[in-house]
Amino acid sequence: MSKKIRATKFLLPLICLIALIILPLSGIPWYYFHVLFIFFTYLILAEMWNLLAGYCGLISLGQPAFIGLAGYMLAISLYYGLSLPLSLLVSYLTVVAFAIVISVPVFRLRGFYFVIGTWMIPEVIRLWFNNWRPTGEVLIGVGGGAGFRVFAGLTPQTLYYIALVAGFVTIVLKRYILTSKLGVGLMAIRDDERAAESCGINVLRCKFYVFVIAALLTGVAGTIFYLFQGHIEPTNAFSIYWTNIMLIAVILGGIGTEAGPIIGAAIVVILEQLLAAYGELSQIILGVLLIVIIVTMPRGILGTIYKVQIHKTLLKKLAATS
Amino acid sequence: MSLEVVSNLLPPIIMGFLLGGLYSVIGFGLSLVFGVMRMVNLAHGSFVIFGSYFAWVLLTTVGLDPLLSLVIILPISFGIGFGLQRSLLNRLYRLGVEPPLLTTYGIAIILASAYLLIFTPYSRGLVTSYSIRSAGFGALTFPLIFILDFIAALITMIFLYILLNKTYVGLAIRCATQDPQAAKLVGMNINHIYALTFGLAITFASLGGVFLGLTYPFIPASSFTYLIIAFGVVVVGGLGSMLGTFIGGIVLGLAQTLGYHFFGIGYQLFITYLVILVMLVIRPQGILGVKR
Amino acid sequence: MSERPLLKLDQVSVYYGDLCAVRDITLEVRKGEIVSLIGANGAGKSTILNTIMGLTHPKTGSIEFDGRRIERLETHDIIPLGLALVPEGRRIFPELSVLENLLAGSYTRRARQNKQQMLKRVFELFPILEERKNQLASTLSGGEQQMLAIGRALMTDPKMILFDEISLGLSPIITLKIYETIKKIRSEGVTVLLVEQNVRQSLAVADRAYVLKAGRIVLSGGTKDLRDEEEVRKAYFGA
Repeated sequence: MSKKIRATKFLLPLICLIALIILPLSGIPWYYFHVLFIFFTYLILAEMWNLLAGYCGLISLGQPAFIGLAGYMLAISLYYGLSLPLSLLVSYLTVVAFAIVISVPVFRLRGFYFVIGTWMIPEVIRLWFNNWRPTGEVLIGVGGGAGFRVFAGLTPQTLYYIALVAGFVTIVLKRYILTSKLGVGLMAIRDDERAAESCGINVLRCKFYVFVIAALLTGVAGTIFYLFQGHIEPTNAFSIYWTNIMLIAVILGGIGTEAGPIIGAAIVVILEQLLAAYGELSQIILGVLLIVIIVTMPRGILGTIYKVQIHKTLLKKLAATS
Repeated sequence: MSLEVVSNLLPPIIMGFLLGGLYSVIGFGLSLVFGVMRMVNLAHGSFVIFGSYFAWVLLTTVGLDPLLSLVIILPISFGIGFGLQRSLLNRLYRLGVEPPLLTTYGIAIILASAYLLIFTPYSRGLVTSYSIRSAGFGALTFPLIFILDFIAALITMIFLYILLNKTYVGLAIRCATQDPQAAKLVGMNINHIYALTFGLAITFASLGGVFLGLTYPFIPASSFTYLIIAFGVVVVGGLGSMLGTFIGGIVLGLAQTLGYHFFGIGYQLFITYLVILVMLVIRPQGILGVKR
Repeated sequence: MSERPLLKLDQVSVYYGDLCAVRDITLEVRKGEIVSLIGANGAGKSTILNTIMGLTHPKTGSIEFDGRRIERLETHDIIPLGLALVPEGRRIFPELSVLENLLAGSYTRRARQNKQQMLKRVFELFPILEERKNQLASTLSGGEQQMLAIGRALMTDPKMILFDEISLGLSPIITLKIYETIKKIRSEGVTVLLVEQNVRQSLAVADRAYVLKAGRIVLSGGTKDLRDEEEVRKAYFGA
């Protein structure tokens, strides 16, 4: 790689990062940090879903299970007086344990059964939390809802930095995974699962690792979000609203591409803010957008651009040789 | 076991059986589409509730009885299914497995959000003179509506059986399920068959929705509940046989009513889902299904 | 008497994506003939048959059947015109009975009118099918399934039948019997185009043959002329 390209590859993200870090000092109204906060949360969700669906072919509609589970374990731990770092640890351990346990039956499902089977998981957990009262009678909100303790020191700025760090770590982790041996395996699986298997790649193990990592980071996003929101209740925690976001962000940006989730998450956040006034109509518009993208640009924005680029390169090469 | 306990169990068991018939109707819609087009219709539950809301609108605006409104709702549902398949879904199959799936997901979101927008999250129900009546005698009483549900299910299954086994259209559907290429070679118009099948599936869905709306209250999120139940019917009973789907429906109907009987209203769905999950783990191909 | 051929392909080229499967295919089949298309595996024989039947469409060239241009038609519009294919691998409907498989063949309106007649004819040609008529098609032996596939094609009341590799997986005795049946079918007025790897058998029964190699027709003529297998073998292996 030439020095020039190497420079842009590292320089651009570095500049972005520095800009994001010093942004709070510039006095921009909190609203924009709120948007960036949501962006980072959605980014983590989208990156993970892209790894699952785009690279492993696991169209999991059950990710809200990890969001809600992490959020609830956080609420319960905090309620029982655990410190914040310890509570977060409990949440993450729970999510990872749950993912490992659930992966056994889930990976035996194929196609039809996998899709709706994963959809069922958050639904079942939601029903459980509807009835469960782990914190006794001290509950705020409808059926199973819980409020968090308000923290001194957990200012909006702190939350922003937490989200920024989490988002940055996610991107770095994703990069690391994709350039590692696991990543090579994933890209082989993405292109042709059966061929990958016959090359000696342990497809099941790769999918398992991705499944657990995705569960963990999805849980991380969940805890960040609920720390910010301050209260949690079953219908929202396990809602398909989360799945919508991941799906649309990834499909829009380009499923199976590396930078697709970033672009997709950005567009989804902006759209959400623009349509915020319209309530349910915004969800309808997002649904229509999803269908339109699938019909017109099934590879998403980046996917289509890459395809066009590859085509152009091929044509150039053909023209050169003939 | 004392006689009292047994006679206490009889109403929920009978209700579960009767309800199960209706559950198998919505199961048929899902398995038909999957069998013929190899596609998972994630919007299936949303179309079930479509029937419920449609009947509710007709009931509350012009006072039309839900049973009578079927005359309007069923043809319209068929048309919607037919048109949707023809115009949108048909062009997606050649793109692979994911695009049709994700598109039905999009449709599911659009419908569920539309219901939320138009009808608000408050629960609705189709309340008529007969939907609150009881049947039976003495200790063995239960709501009359469950009998109507089962009759509807029976009529639907007889219709489906005759269609699939005694008509050329049904033969075409079965051929398309087993080998679409070979079906083409005997002159069958596959696109047409797909559209018919999807239309049929949506019709079954709305039919189920009307009767379910008479039986239980519903909210926009019920779309997903009934998707999972339809899925569960297919999982428990097995893909590909009418008898299997019927059995699957009965099992889930019983799970729900007995779940309510033993654990209360908060847990009835939970028990039903649990049965589905257990089946998925120990025998995913279902009771009558074949291991593929 | 220069009658126009029943089936005529003119400079037909078929592509799968950017890959050329067959190129500039020109061939014709006259009414009442048995014409054979021979070539090694992968030469493109099945592609040609599938394209005639509308399962794929040619990029260039024209296909004419009974005076009508059919290269842009869909399969379900071609069958009623009187073309039928017995596909490679038989492709019978496994979960239908023998009778139902045959009835599926008379799906088109025209075929449905003559249903009983056609059924009688099929049972005369293949008495074993009548014996097993209520049995599930998947329980039949390989040879019986082949007969069923041919019977199903006959039920569409065709003017011309295409056969794709029907001897594949069958014992020589059954293959012989099937070829006898093909001759019988021809004598009842149905034109035949058959695709085969088994050169000797197909040349024995055909009037004319085309030899296909790597997607192109390299040799053609009456089977008496081509019986000199040296020529055919040369075309096959390019020796």
